[in-house]
Amino acid sequence: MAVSSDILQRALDREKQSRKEAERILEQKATELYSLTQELSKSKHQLEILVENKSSEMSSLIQNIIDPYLLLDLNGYIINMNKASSDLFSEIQSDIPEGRLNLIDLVPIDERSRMAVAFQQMVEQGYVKDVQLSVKNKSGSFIHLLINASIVYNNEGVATAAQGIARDITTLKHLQDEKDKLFEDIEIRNEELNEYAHIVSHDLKSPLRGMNSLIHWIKTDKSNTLSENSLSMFEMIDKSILKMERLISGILKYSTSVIENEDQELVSMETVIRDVMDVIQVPDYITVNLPEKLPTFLVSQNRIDQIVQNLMTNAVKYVPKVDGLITWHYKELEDKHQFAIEDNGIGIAKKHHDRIFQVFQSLTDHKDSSGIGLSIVKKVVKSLGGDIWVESEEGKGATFYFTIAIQNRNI
Amino acid sequence: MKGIVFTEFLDLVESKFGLEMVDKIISSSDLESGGSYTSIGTYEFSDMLQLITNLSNNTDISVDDLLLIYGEHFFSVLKSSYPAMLAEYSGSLELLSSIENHIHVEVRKIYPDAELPSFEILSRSDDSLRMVYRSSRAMHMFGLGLMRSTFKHFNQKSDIQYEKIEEDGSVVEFKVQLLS
Repeated sequence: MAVSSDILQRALDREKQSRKEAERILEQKATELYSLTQELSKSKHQLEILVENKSSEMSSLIQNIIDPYLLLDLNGYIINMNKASSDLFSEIQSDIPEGRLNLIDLVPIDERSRMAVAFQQMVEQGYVKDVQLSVKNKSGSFIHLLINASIVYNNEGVATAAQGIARDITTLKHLQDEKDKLFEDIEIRNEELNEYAHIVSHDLKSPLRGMNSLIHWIKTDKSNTLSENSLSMFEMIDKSILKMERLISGILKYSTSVIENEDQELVSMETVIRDVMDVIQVPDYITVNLPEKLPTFLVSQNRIDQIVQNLMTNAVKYVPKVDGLITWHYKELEDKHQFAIEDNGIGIAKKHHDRIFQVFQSLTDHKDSSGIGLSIVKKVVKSLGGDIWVESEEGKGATFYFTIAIQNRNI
Repeated sequence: MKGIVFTEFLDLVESKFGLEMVDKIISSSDLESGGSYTSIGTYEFSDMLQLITNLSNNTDISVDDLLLIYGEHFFSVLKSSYPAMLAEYSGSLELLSSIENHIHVEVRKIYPDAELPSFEILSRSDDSLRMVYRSSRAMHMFGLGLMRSTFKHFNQKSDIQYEKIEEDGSVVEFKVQLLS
C-alpha cells in the first residue's frame, strides 16, 4: 500500500524542520560549551596559582621546621625532606646512595631492622609515637632521636603517604642521665649522713650516760657524807646531762627531718588534728576548737603530722592550767592552704618572733624543751612550699600561722 | 518534556501503525512545535497529550494502554542510551527504589530543566516495594510500562498493583511484589 505523496512531503518537511531545529540547538550548546570552557580554563589557571602558592608555602614551612622532617611514600621512598633531615643523614651515613632514596638506605645497617619494625607498626596503626632510636654519627658518638610519625590520608580516607619528624634529644638525654646520677649520689649521701648523724649522737650520748652512772654511784656511795649543797649540785649536773642528751636527740631529728622524699597522699586535716590530740593526750582542762571547714589535700602524711604535733604540743604546754583554749583556723588562699593555731597562753614578746624559729632557741627553761621543735617545724613547712610565722603579744596568747602549697590535683 | 519522548513516540507510532497514522495525529493536533521534534529539544507537554489522545481516537486503544505500551518500549531506549547506569543495579527492586535518590539526581545533572515525577518509597523488603508516584502529568501508566520492562530486563517475575490516590492519576500508589 503506497503512501500518498502529500503525506511523504509533509513528513519530509517535518524532518527538515527538526534537522534545522537540532542544528540550532547544537549551535547554541556549542556556544555555551565554549564560554564554559573559557571559564573553566580561567578557574583552572587560578587554581594552579593557588596550588603553586600553597606548595611554596608548604615547602618553606617544611624547610623551616627545625627538626628533621620527612615525607615518604608507603614503601619508605622519600618524597620530600627538609634541610635538617639531609643534614642529619649526612651526619650519620657517609655514603648516601644516588637517585631515588629509601629511608632504610639512610639508616645505619644495625638500626635498619628496628626502623623497619617501627615503619610497619606505623602503617598498621596509622602512627608511631615517641620511638627512640640511637644512631652513631661519623665521629662515633651517639645521636639520640625521638621519632613521631603518622600516615597521611587523602580526602577519601585512603593512605597515600607517611610523614615523620625526628627530634634530636641527645642533649636532653645527657641532662637526664646526669640528673639521674645526681639523684643517685644524693640518695647515697643522704644515707651516709643519716648513718653519720646516728653514730655521732650515739658517740656523744655514751660519755653522757657514763657520767650519769658515775654520779648515780657517787650519790649512792656517799649519800651519808655529802652535804646538802653538794647533793643539789649533783642534782644540777643531772639536769644538765639530761638537757645535753635532749639537745643531741634534737640535732639528730633536725638534721634528718626532711631528708627523705616522701610519698604524697590525700590527707584530711581534721583527722590529722584529732589523731594528734589522741597521741599527745590533751588534758581535760583544755578546750580545742576546730573550724567548720578543714581541707583534705595532697601532702606527705608524716610531715603534716610532724607540724601539727609540734604546734599542738607547744600550745598545750603554754596555755593556762585553768580554762586553756586552743583554736584552729583555716583559710584557702589562691595557691596555698593557710592554717592557724591560736592559744590563750603566755604569749611571746615581739622581739622574739623571729628567734623562736631558729635552732636551740627556747624562750623558757621548760623541762622538756630542747629548743629545736619550732626550727624543725619551719624546715618541714618550707619543704612543703609554705611558710610559718607567729602573731603574739606577751601575756595575750599566740597564734601560729603556717601555709602549705596546694599541689596540682591532677598529679 | 524532553524531545526524545516525542521522537521515540512518533517512531513507535510509525512502526506500529504506519506513516499515515503519524501524519493523521499530527495534522489533527494543534501543536506548539508544528509537528517537528528533535531528541535534543524540549517541548510542551500539551503536544504529547494531544498526540496520544488523537492516536487513541484513531486506534480505539485507550490512552492508558497506549502509555503502558510506550513505557514498555521506552525502557529499551534508556537501556541503549545509558547502559552503564543500568549496570549499577543487581535487580529490579534495587533499581526502582533508587529512582528518586540516584537516577533522577543523575538525570538532573544532564538536564537541569527536566521536570521529573517523584517516587516516594513507603516501605521496602527483600521482595516487595511500596511507593507513591506523584506528577501533574498523570503518566503513571507510562511508569508502569517502564517497571514491567525493568523486571523483564532482570529476568524477574513480578506482581504490580496500583491504586489512584488522586482521581486524576497525579498521585498513585504502586505495590510491587517480586515473585520467585
